[in-house]
Amino acid sequence: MKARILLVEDDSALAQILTLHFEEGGHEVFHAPTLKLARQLIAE
Amino acid sequence: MGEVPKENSTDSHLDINSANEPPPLHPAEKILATLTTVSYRAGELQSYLDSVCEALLELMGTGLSAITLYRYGTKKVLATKPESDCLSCGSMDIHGQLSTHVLNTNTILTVENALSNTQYGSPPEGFCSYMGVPLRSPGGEVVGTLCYFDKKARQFTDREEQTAELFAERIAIALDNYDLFQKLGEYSDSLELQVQERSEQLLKAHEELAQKEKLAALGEFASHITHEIRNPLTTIRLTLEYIKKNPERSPEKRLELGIGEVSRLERLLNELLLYAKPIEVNAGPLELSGFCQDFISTFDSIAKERRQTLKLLTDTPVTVMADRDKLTQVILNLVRNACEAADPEDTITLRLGKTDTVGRVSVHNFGNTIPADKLPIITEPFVSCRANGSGLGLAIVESLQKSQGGNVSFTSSVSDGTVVEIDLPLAPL
Repeated sequence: MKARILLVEDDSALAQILTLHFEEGGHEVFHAPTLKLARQLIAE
Repeated sequence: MGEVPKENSTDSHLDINSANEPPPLHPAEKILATLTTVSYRAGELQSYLDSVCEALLELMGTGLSAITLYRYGTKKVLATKPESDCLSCGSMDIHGQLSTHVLNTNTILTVENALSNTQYGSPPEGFCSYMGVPLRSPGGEVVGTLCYFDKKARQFTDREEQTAELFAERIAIALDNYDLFQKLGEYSDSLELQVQERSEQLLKAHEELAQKEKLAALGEFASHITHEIRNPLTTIRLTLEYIKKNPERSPEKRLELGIGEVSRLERLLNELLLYAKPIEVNAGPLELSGFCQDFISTFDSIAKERRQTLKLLTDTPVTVMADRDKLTQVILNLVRNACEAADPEDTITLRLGKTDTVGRVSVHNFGNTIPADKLPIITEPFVSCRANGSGLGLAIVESLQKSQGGNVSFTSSVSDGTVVEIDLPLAPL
């Protein structure tokens, strides 16, 4: 089962490595630096 | 002044007759002079009472004057003239005799011959006539007597009674003042004790509060440190776990991130040490233009990494009192921040200036600004505008600046960019 993952996180190393981890697992990762942008992404 | 009536023969004791001495004072003048010289000051009650007895004796004759106190059920002879051992040791109970009548009736009592007229009591041995005046407190309570005993039978004039009343009034006031003085002293001691107790309590409370604040600050600090260390550690752990699980796959990207996080931890620890350790300042005159040129030559690579430019603007020579190494660290932190906030190929400007009291280095950049809500707290530890910032850089800047007697201030807007001003005391000419 593929998931769509939204990381509300800045461009830190931890966020990058989590992204790599999920993407290699076939999941789709989205980034939102702020909660406001995260809400916008979810609304879309 | 009204006419003073002529004294009768019983007032002969008030006259002073001597051919070789200045004309004698009028009796009224003498009373006035005596009253003027006898005063109560500074709580010296006994000497005052002695002087009143002496003055009364001088005005009345060669008998015995005494002041007695009756208060709180206690009878006491406070003073006599001439001084009498038997009175001071209490063997003569004045209150048991004539004075008791004065105390009980609250009126003046004069007895021409107390030896023959014993209805008011008997005089001390060797004395015949008696005059007693009650001592009235301001509240009207009789607190004692002023007595005069004469060795021979005699009458007392109205003037003598009035004079004795004047003295009695003064004695009563003095006694009252003395009591107030004593109470004030006790109150003052008590108040002082209370103030001391309260001060100790306050100090203790203050120390407890300071300790709590210290622990709270330490807790907050530990929390920040934990957060700052845990994130890179998680990254490193994920990298290592990936390599372990997937030995056949290329871990290049993850290794790069992990190594970056190790560097980040190193930086964090270095900054923590720099922030926490005591600062030793060796300040001396430092010419800022030459210093900044040297700085740019040394650290230009920081800007060049992002194809940025470091530019120095200076109009006038500025020499400040500063520690070269500390100021280098300050400018380095600011320039590094400015380069990271600015866009590639931007220019970061160092501008020199001065006021009457301080020399100034302003570091300016366009690019990412400091949010308005963070400006007032930007120098607090662990406050950062960058994702990978430790939040200690500007705290270190402020700490180093304060250690040199300087200051740091920030302005930031999209239109004008970010300006950090470093002020340092001007070197004496």
